[in-house]
Amino acid sequence: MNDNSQHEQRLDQLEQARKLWLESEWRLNFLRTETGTPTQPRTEEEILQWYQQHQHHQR
Amino acid sequence: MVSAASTPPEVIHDQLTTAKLQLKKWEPEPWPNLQYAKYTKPTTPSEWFSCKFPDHARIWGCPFIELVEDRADGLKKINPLAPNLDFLAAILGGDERMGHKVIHLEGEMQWYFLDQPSSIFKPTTTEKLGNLLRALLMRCAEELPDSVHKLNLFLEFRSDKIIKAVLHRAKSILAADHTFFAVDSKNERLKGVEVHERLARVFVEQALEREPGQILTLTNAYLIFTEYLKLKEMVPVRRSMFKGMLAPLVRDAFDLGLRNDIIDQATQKQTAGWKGLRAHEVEGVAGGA
Repeated sequence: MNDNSQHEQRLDQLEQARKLWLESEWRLNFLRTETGTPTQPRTEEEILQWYQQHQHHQR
Repeated sequence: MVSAASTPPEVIHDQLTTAKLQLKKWEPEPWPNLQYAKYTKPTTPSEWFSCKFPDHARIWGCPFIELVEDRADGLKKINPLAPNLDFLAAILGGDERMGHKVIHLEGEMQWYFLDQPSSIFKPTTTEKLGNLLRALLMRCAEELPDSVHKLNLFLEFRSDKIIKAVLHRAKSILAADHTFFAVDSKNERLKGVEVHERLARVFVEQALEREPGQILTLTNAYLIFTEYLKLKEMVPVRRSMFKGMLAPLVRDAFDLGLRNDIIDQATQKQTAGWKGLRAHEVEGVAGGA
C-alpha cells in the first residue's frame, strides 16, 4: 500500500516535472541557435532532478 | 450611467449590451490546497499571461486592458484592446521557476539567455526574442475560448510595430552592465572568438570615424582596443587575431582597406593602417590618430 502510494506520488511528480520541462524547452528553443550538436534528450531522472532544483520557485 | 468618478467607464450599445474596460489579472482560487488552484483555467488574455507569469504581473501590472461586453444573451465577450508593453518586455527576461534568465548587455548591445543544461549564458538576437513573444501571443489566442476576440492577439499585438516597441522597452528593463560577466561574478557566458568579434564590431561603431587627412595605424587601433577590452574586464586578443577581425569590419563600415604604406607619425617608419580614419574617445578610453 505504502509502496503504491510512493509510486503514485513519483508518477505525479514526474508528470508535473515533464510538463514544466517541456514548457521550458519550448521557450528556450526560440532563443537557441541551431548548432552541429543537437541537445541530448533528458532521462526521467534528469527531468525530476531539474524539477526539484527549481521547485523552490514554484508557488 | 456613471455614478462616481472612480467607477470604470461604461458604454451602452444599441443592442442592449453593456461594455466596460477592465484590468483583471488571474487569481488562483482561494482554496487551501494550492495544487488545485493551479488548474483554474484562464478565460481572458490578461488571465492567460498573468497565470503563466504571476510574478511579472505582480510587478509590472495587468498584461492587457480589455473591453468586456455583457451581451443580451447573458454571455460575455472579451476584447483585448492594448498591451501593457512593460509587462510583455519583462516576461522576455524569463521565468525563474524554470531557471530562465535573459539580459541585455549594454556595453556590447547584445542579448544573452541562460541555456540549459549548461547553465551558461549564450548570445541570442532581438529577432529571436520577437519570435518568442509572437509565439506566446499565438498560444494565448489558440488556448482561450471563443468568447475572446482574437484578432488583436493574432494580428495587431504580433505586428512588427508592437513587437519592436516591446523589445525596445525590454532593453532597459533587462539591462545588465559589464559586471554581470565579471571575473568574480557567478554568471558565466560562452567564451570564444565570437565575443571578441562582437566587441570589435561595437568598437568599430563607437570608436572609429571617417576623417579625411587622418591616419590610424594598426598598432594604435590595437592599443585602444586592448584598453577597451580591459574596461570590459575581458582578456586581450593577440594582435594577429585583432588584425584579422578588424580589417573586414573597417572595410564593411567605411569602405577602407588596410594598407601597408602608412607612415607612423611617431617613428616615421612604414607600417600597416588606414588613411582617412581616426579613433575617438569611447567610454573613457582615450583614442588617437
